[in-house]
Amino acid sequence: MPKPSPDSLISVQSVSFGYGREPILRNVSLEVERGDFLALIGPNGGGKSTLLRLILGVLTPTQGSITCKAKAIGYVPQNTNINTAFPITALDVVGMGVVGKERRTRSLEALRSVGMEALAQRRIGELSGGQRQRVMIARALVAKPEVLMLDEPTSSIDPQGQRDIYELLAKLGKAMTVVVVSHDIAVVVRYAKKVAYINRTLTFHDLSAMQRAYAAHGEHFCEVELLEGLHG
Amino acid sequence: MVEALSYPFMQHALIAAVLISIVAGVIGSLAVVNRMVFLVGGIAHAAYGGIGLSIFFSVPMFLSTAAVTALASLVMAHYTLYRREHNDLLVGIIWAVGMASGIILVDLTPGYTADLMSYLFGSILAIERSDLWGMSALLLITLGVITLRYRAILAVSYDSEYARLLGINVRFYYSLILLLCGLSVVVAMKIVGLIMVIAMLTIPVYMAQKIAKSLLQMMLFSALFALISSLIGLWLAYMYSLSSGAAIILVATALMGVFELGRVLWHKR
Repeated sequence: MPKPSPDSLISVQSVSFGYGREPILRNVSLEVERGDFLALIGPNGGGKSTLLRLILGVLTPTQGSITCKAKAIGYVPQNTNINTAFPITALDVVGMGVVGKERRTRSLEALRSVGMEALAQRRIGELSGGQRQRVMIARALVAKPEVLMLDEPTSSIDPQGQRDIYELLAKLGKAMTVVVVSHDIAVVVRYAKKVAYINRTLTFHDLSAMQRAYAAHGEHFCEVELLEGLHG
Repeated sequence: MVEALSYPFMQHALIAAVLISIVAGVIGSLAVVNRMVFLVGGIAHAAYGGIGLSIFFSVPMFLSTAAVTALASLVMAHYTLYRREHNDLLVGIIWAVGMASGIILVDLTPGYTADLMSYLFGSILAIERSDLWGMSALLLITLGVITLRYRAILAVSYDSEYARLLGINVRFYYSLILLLCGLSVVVAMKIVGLIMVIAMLTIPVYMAQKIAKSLLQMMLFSALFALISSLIGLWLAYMYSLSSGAAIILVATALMGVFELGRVLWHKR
């Protein structure tokens, strides 16, 4: 069993998880260190979101343990298009994460950090997918977390909005630790510092090899071939 | 109209209309944003079982219907929290079992011939002073709970997964919201009628949802629209001897038509 390093914020040690007989995750170990920009990639149903939920403490491992030294983890869920008819402003969505008198100032501050301050009073349903995603990131940031975890942050956003979100994450990543679940490998290669592939088990990838492969194939590279090449 | 106000039954009906409008605005908003409208519809029909209990055992109707709707709400909450796909099946069962029990209990009560239709469709003659006390008590409880727990109820209603991460007990609040919805049925039952409660909880909310910027605003606007509909509806029911529930609902629908027309014209400017 790998020992957690002193810089480790989140330490996942030999964790298995499953409902019933079929395991979703088997013997997964992972260290998230301060300053990491870690991307979790892998097929749908491979257990990426499950791993996030285990780290968040929403689910409990059937085996193994997870230690978290981070005081707070900010979380951006996968589907941010839920309940768009709900009468709530961007400011109030962000404010859900804060208790007390500072709610308004801290919510505005969080919205400013994602470039959404001007739209604070808009209803959440009137925003575009990309803008709504920024609000959700602000909601995660408002608790001043050390780690920001995002589950497929660009899955329902137009291409320009996707680039904007990753530029924002890159900026945030300079001051905090970021863990992002994605299956957009082109994006992962450009922004991540570490890449882990999850399909029931977890394997770390050599990011520089991926970057070389990406550079060689340009924009038209095939993600499946790339991954197969790395496994072979 | 002034003459009508001198009758105690009309005074009772007017006070009841104000109480019902507040309940409809507050609880209707919660039911709509939590997508519980049909669960509440099922609970409303099941409340008929409470009417049967009241007649058969000669207990106060207010208590027996409150008990039945509370039970139905909690059963519903238990089975639907993480399994929304069970909703229609469960609504169908609770709806029919509740009504069937009510009907059988009334059948078994010897010599009972009262007008049960008034519970289904509402009657302005049905409100007694004791009903007003019961309705006020339920309204105060509802408003108190919502005021004290507004942030948690808001968080669970908007995004229950995130609420869980904030450490909020989602199961408790989900059950609480459904329980409050169930009790609102009891408040609204006599004037609007069990069958039409659901319209009272949705038509005003539909309008409010289009213009409100927060859940609180939605509740206030809904209550206002509900109040306008109830007062005009009651007046029509009195003038033309109509069922009050049906009159209120149709006035609310007409108001919704005017509202939509107004919105279209506003956007065309």
